[in-house]
Amino acid sequence: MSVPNALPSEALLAPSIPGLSPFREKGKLTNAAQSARCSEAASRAKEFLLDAPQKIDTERLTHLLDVYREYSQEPVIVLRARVFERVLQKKTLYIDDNPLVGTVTSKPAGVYPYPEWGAEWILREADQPMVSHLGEVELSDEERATLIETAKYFQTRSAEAKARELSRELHGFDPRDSVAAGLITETAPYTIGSGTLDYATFIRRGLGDIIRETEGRLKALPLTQENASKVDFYRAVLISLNALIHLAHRYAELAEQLAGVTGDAVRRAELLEIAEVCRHVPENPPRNFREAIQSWWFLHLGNQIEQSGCGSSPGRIGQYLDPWFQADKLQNGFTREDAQAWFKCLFVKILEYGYYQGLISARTNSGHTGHTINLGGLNAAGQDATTELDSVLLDTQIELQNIQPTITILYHDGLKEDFLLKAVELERTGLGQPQWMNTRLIIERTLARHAKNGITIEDARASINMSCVGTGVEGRTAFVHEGGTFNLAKCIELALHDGVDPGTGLVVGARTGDPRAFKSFEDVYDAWLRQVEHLFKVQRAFGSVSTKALGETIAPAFRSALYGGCLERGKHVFDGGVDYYLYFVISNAGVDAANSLAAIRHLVFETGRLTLGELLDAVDANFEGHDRIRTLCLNAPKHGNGDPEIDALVRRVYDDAFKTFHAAGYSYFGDHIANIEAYSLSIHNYYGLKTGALPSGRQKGRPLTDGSVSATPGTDKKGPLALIQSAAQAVDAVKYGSNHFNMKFHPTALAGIGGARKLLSLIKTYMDAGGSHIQFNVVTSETLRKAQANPDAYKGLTVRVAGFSAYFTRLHKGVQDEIIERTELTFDC
Amino acid sequence: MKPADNPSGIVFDIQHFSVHDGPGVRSTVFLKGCPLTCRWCSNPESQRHQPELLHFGELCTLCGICVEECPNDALAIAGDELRRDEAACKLCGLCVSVCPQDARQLSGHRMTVEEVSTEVRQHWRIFMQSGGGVTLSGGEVLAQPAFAGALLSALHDDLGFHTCVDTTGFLPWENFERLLPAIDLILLDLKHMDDARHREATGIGNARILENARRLGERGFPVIVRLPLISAYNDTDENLHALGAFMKKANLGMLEILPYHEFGVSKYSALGKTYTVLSRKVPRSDTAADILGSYGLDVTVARR
Repeated sequence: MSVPNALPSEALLAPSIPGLSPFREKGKLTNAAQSARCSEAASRAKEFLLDAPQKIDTERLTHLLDVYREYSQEPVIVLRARVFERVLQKKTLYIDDNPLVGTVTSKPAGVYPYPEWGAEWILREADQPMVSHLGEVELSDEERATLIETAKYFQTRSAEAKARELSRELHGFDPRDSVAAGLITETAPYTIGSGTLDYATFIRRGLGDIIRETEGRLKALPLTQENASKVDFYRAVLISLNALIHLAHRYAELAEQLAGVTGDAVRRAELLEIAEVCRHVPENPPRNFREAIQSWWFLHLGNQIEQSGCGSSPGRIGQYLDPWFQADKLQNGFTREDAQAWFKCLFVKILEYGYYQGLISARTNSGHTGHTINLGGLNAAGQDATTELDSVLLDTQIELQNIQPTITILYHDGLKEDFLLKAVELERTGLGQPQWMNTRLIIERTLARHAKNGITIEDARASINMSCVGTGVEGRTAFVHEGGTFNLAKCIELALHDGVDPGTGLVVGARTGDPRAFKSFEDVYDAWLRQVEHLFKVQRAFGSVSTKALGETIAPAFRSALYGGCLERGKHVFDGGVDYYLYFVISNAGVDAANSLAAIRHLVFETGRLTLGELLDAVDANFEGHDRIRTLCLNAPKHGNGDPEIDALVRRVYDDAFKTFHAAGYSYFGDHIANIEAYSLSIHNYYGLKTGALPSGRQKGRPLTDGSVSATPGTDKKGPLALIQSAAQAVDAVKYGSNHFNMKFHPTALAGIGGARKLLSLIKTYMDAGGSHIQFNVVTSETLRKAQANPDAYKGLTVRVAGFSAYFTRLHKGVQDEIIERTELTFDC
Repeated sequence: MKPADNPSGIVFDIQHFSVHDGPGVRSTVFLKGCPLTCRWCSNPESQRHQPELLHFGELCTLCGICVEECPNDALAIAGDELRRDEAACKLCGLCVSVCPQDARQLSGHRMTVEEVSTEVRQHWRIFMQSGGGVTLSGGEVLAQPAFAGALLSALHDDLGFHTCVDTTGFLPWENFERLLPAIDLILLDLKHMDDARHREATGIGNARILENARRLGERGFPVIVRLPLISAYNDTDENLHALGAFMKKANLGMLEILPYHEFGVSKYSALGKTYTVLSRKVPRSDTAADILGSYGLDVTVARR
């Protein structure tokens, strides 16, 4: 058994704690001794991960092909459960010095490829170096051969292939041209996260109890035509849940084996306790906090092995684990520091986790895994839900400064002062966390979205940030893409080129006529809106086809079982089993579209400084040789300056996009409506590479605007209050699935207790004005420039990109430049 | 509102989210024109009463766009320099809006009391949240007494905002006194205790300033004295002791030290002015705080 990253045994010795034996009764480590070991293990893991490149692990692929051959007669839900089971039975296990055990792959910082979703990227990129946001992805020749073999098998069987084929058959097109032009991205080729599963119930009851209940359901179900698919779903659930228990027992056996060979008494005690814990959870209800956290990690591990991807959030883990913490404090002399030590072990586990799915995905997501921990918010009775463990989580992140998991404060007026001040303390570290969400607003959003799904106020109060900024009901909302993303700025380009993409020469838009014939601003606006209509016709039709294809290729039993509603209904997530759906597509570059429209309106139709022809010539020349026109464009009114006319135009762009989206189609999930999310990850950077010059003055290839209501970097000139005024009203954040606003502050702006209160005033003022989400970068441009010049010295420097924190020195140069350019707001001059 | 009720003045900037000019989060309104010419002034464009055009020569690439766009033909390139014909220029600001390098800036425009009130009122929520309000600064606020009086009355009496006035204190007491009912807090600069040294660096003596400070102290009016601290000029033991003794005697208990910075230096050449530096050494902020603290004063050091 290989033990990667193992350290010499003397490094594993417990630190001497004066006056205390590291052991308590029955040869077990004391809380203090175990906590010290947890903290050290977490520090070592973090140090290792700072430098670790991702390594592709192809072990899963071998099992995948075996299972597809052996179980080809089974319905897809059972076939997929057999894949899950086989991987959990056969994967190579290792235990490193983290006492919280279990890893996704068989090597540190390993990632699984998932060719069942999409194999094209593998075949396209297999013979070149694979590059993730962390540098080159490591892959041996042998592994490369396995990867290619599996990709070939799935080339015609993947969700991606099925979606394209079905689209050609039903609609007469597939979206490859639109993808190439930078108008949309696809969803079927990429695994995604789960949102937040119902960890609370599954930990509390234990999988054994859920299995017994499911067996009961299966036994009681008459085998009728109507129930046939339910029978298969329950079979698949039982296979999956039993497989996870089996995996835990395999870890118990491994721990016992290691305990038998170690010469270190302290390590032996630690390993034996690991074994005891893994024999007990996740099968049974946890007996203490440590078992609860290990149970959480096993459930999450199952989720991530079944399907790795962005947006699998722990949710309000500090609230649903708090009962075990409180009981341990009373009964076992457990302390806040002990809980913090275990959270550190968990945080480094989450930090290690990653995925790689090719260049497009690497560019759009920067490898972000979207593990969002929510603090605060309201309980079912509408009272402040914050727990002591929430505050321990803040302490943990203040100490660790992890880019993952990321912290969201569910802000409301009932939050306690000491909790808020601690949250500001974290903000001040410059990590770009926490992000702040308006609890009342997201509750209103949930009520509006699920008006037809029988939503109750109690469920709505369980609304959390379950991905980067997407919201839903904790444990009961499924996280499913209708489409990938779309680019509203590309629609400007298409409106100014009669539907032809200038970059590729492909017709990917509506034929809206010669732009030089437009007589008024409304003519221009209409042409843009017709491009948006056309975009949604493509995106929505293809979205439904993709969802169907995913349901028929990768239907997940494990994830479905942990979503509220599926077990009751006997249906998986693609079959309509879940109580609530966050069924979405991500909007991009709305601000660039609005700024471009504003420039045209101002320069051509209001002041007459330019003719539309002059402007188009300059844009087509990428402004080269047109400095004067570019200056006029850059100096035209822009979003983010509290200008009521521009604010109204930005709102009009977002409102019309929303109406057009809903006019363009029905939802695959019926009364569960599809929705637009308004955030950017690093998609604005990817689309920037594919979008030509714009009338806003932005040149070809430059990043588009981050977030959804942030100002284009450098164009907010009236200070933070004007910016938040513009941002708060820019989208109808109740109707849109999310909203996303970045602000950057100089560190001195937050200094001292006065600075903390001023930041809280700003946050509350923004929320009171209707803002739904805000996050901050607290770092100077000067520091960032130094880091760019001398990356080695700034390895740990984190910044908030757009929906997530990242190591600055590991970001694409374009993203780095853009963050430096973001206006640095000081509170004073 | 009739023009008589709505006087206007020359404002050179309104800064929102200001956190160093009084309590809470504030909007600071900068009035143009100042009787003092402090050599370290970081807002030299505030000194002249009339609007002025700034040109940052080091940013200018002589591209000529502004020359082409100027509706009054007031601009020309001569050699490696952009020249402005002051007689022809109407200070319309068009050249500022077309400059690709942001090398030009128009400082100062006429605003009415109502316009200023409307702009700062937008931020009422954060004033309430943070215990902030509106600060009038300059230039010298009281160099435009009618405008300042009407503005303070509108902000304080009509709108109910907390008001601060950041002043040099150099004006007749009668003018000062008239405004006090509409002011909640005064931020008063005491730059040097020695009359000659004061005159040497600011162009005027300190007698009237100290007299006004004494009168404010006598009334128990809320005042924070501000000391722009400059090495080898006013950070000497002698000056600091004199200031401490004066404040203690005058019943002025609060002092804020503003260590000297050079954020404003580039604006001097942009205005065609010369910056004559007093000292670039870091002033002795901690020593100053210790000495002044020994007089029982409540001392803070602004660290930016």
